[in-house]
Amino acid sequence: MNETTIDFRLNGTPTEVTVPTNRLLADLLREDLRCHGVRSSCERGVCGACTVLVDDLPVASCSTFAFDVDGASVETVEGLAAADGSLSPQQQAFAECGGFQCGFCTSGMLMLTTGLLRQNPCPKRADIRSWISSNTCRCTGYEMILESVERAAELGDGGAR
Amino acid sequence: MRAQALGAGLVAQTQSSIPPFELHRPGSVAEVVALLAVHPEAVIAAGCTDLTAQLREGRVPRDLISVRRVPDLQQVRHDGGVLRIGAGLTHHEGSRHPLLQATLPSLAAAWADIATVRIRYSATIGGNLLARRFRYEMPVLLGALEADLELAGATEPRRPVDWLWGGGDHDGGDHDGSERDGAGAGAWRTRGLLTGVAIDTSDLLWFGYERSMRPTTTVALAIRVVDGSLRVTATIGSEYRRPVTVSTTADVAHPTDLDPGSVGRAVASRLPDDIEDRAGSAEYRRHLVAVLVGRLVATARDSGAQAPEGVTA
Amino acid sequence: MTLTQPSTDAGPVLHELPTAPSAHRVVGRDGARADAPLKVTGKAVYTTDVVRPGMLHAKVLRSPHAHARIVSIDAARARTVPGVTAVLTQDDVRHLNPYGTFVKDQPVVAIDHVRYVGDVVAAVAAVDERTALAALDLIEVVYEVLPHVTELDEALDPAGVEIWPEAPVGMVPDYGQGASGELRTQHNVSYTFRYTTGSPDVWDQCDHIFEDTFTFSRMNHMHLEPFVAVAEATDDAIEIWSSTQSPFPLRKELAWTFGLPENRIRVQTMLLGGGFGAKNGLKADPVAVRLSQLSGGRPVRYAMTTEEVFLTVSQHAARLVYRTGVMADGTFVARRARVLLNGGAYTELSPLVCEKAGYRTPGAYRWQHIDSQASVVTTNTVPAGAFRGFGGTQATWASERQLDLIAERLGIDPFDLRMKNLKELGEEFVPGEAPIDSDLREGLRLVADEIGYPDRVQVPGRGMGVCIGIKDGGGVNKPAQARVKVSTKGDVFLSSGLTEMGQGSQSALCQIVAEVLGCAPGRVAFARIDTDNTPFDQGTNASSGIAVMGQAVQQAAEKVRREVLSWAGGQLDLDPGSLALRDWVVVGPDGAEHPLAPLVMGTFGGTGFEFTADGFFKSGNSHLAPLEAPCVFWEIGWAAAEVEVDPETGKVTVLQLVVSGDAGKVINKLGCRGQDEGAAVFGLGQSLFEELRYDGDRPVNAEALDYRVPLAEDLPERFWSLTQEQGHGAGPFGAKGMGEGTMLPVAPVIAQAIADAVGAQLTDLPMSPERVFRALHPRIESS
Repeated sequence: MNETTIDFRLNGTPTEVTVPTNRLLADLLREDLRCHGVRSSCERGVCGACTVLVDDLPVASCSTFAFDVDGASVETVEGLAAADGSLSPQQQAFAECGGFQCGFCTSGMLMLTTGLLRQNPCPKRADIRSWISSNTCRCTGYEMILESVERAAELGDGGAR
Repeated sequence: MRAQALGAGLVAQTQSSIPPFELHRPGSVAEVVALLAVHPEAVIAAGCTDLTAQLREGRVPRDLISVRRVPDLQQVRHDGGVLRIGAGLTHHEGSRHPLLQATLPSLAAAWADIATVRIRYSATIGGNLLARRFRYEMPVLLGALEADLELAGATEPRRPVDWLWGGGDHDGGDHDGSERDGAGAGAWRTRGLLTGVAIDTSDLLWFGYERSMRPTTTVALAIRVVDGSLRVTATIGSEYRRPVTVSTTADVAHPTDLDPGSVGRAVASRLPDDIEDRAGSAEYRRHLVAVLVGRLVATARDSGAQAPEGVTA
Repeated sequence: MTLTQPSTDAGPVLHELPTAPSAHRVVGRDGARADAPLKVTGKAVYTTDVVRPGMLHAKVLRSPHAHARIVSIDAARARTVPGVTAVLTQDDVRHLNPYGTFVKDQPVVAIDHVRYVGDVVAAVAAVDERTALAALDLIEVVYEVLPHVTELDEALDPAGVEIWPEAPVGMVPDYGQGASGELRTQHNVSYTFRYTTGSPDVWDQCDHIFEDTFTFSRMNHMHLEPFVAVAEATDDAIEIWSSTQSPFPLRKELAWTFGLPENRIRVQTMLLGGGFGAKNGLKADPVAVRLSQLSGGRPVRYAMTTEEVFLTVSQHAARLVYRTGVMADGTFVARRARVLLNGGAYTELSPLVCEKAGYRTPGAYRWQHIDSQASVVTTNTVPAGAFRGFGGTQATWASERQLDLIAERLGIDPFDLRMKNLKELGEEFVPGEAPIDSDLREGLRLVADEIGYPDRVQVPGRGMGVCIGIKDGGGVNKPAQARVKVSTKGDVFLSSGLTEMGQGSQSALCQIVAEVLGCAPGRVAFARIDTDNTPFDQGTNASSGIAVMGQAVQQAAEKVRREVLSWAGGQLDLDPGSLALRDWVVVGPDGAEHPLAPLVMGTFGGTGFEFTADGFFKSGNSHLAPLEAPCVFWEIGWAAAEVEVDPETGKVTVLQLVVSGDAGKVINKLGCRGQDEGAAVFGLGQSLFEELRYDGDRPVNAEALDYRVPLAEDLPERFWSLTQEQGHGAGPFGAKGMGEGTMLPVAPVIAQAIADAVGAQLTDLPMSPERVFRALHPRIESS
């Protein structure tokens, strides 16, 4: 049987799916679970457009097999806003500080930010720079992303949700 | 991209365009070895950060053994002057491991610096080594430390780091021996399971890593006490060429007596003639090695390193 | 008041310029962009997200050879694979027209010859990508390998191989005063642009003449969303969803290639995940269209992988030889430029890039004579096309670098030499061209002061530089059309072909409409782009969004406003000229408010009505202008930098980098800043490390891990931008275009700072540690 059944939490919701063994987490999220906010770009783990959190840690979902999240908690950009649609502090900050342009890296950058703030609610500039250096943004020149992360921390609550 | 089956060109294979594989999820090294006996061509997967790239370069696993849940591969141990680091540790877990930080803090620091925050949470030391990509850094760090790769279920249980590149004492059976980067170098032909790396710390005085000139040239450098003298071993990394390890002995007893300039020149002069690559000419790289080794030795000298690290004098 | 009056014999004429009231801020200026909610929630929809019922997937086979004759292709076995609907080889495209902007040389898939490693040889459509790959693996191709050329000199050698022995269909655009273009001027040269002005006699007056050679490396655009298209096509009609910057030019090119009327082709464009020039012209499109035709019209998706994107288009590598004559006091007199661009295997957009690389030779300075010639050299490498900066980056590298070399030779501070020769505000760029619409010196002083250049203290190993780059903005002879509609309740639609690829222009155009209609920007929605319904546009490029399209949009909004007020005046029996429009309420001369919705329904019934108007803008044609129309605005980039150089290794650390552009008038602050900083970091990567590397005939880093782009960790410790609002722009409210200017001066400013730090003058990009080291130590001491 080249299929496997996995049980995990997707943005807090218990989810069980049976997928081919080579199903990638990115494709599972995008194609089977309608999380189109997960973007696929380089698909070899470098650019980070597909970054999601797995048990609070940022991972490239293009380079993670779905079977590897069995039992884990997976979070995507779709889980950031509150149920009533109000934006999370990270989302507000990226909007307010212009931390996005074409938007293709933005979901990944937001998840990196979420992971960072969860570990370190008051990161220093050097920590932010180091974390954001995990992913590629070709549009902004990064400074406005770094400021967005600082602003997200300031807006409170950050990744604590 | 991979070569088309009939050699008619290049096609863009992706990890999602390969057929599903048989998935095995063993819980122990013994189970992995048993599986390998049945499926000798099986792919061993841990963090999968590089495996994905290998799939894009043409690798198509029929059987995949995920070793992520093998606790034996997640250990760090220090017994009898030998530090053992489990192959399944991620860069994050490994570099922050308390025993490593206590035993060989300089390696922990260097290890904590490679890749990116995101990759460090997924990629493992074993994957970094077996990917056999020239630009990856663990072979450079471990090369200078003269570490051994420990293999279970293989013809030889221990191999030097250089074996990755098909050089040294490799037996030819596990490799195509070609001087190529990455999966093309037969990365998946390693028979047996890489369980970890072993570093002899008994005579190790100092270790340091210089990556400020990455990717043109990186230098890892270890100083050991051998027969009352200091032996300096440096591994030189680059983007397009396999790492090179050279040693030189300084006839002094303490790092404080080392002359950084002459050690730098000695290491540089021992480099092979063909160390040029697309990122730097041979003479420039040789010069850089002299400078970077000199800087590392100066740091060692000024650090006052006296007793082997982690070894109570 | 005219902006385009030609100069007289008396010399350059100072023009009266429009100046926007500086106090007034466009509505929404300091707010977030309109696309923020979609993009921070992940709800934004890109072409990669398009799924059609019954959609098939395409994969292609790419050439392993840089140059070969296709002896035979046998695809019979591929066609029998279950799940395969179409296999595309040369015999399926021989009747189609090859494409390309001025030279039509690129076939849908290779016919008889492959011309670079990565050239498309065959394609398959199947139920999924795995099946398509399996079928590709069964295609047999016999190649006869031919000699190849990858470098400029090899390619120009008449004894060497000729890549296009027979002339493809090609055309030359009309040129005006002093400019000309010509196809196939030399062995393997597809296009040459020439421009001259002033008398060559002035060379004789020069106290010094210097000739220097500069080389420029090529980058990949590395947009994160790959080239992707979904096509539903028959022999009679094409519907396509494409990640393109230029939907109407795409329609035109598809019509040409497939021999269909334009009204049988419908292009729909979603948000783009970056473009930077790459997404002009056909990319994934023709393969998807042809495969759909061969699959009975079923939708075919062709999404390239990033590795394939690298094999599709790149920037132009270049060699520029500049000869410059100056007076002893540093006054510039004459400049001769000979520029060679590596155009790759197909001509793509090369003629236009070549034109600009030649035309931008004067830089920001005053000359008596210019003699410029730029040529596109065909080589067996990845085709080069439009890339942010568009020839201007190459020209600025040579121009600014040579200025520094001359400053050193004459013993003049590079800053002073620039200030001495910079053009005045209002001075023509060249005769017949639009006047300079920024105070160039003011910007130069601004960035110099920012990093402390005037009071700098010499610290060993540290140095500073101050540079400027300039390019004509808004495209050549480019028309723009837009439509504004307002519903009964005052909901506003803006319809324009301007694509959103990250620059924020759709959002800014909505602000312009809101400003004119007196409503909140949130009331204005940007309609989806669909060539059947959207007003015509030549494409989103040349920083034209605000300065060109903005004028059409502003005009359409003003027309709607006039129409509404005129109609309301009639209804209310008031003089329309006395009425104001605010939040869809007509305000009378007495301050009385008349809500429009009930008024509209009173006349048109409960279902209501839409007020609608079209706007149009185009810079006036003029044969006196070298490019047949004066440019709409000048895009200026100023930069100042401080670096530290390690003389032992050649490593350069940029300590501070400040860039500045002149927005004329800021429409959206975040948008302007983002464009300036993003462009600057493109320049930063190109300066220090980023390049597509070839080893012989094959690219060696055409892949995301090996191809190094700037990351956050590569930013200088201090990096910032300053958006100027000098107010002289031709666009709405005095606005100019943004997005490319600050890329231009970055490499030269870093080079100047390196020279200031350690005396090494670099002329090649990127400025790798080894290049810096060798400039310092021409002979490396053997260790």
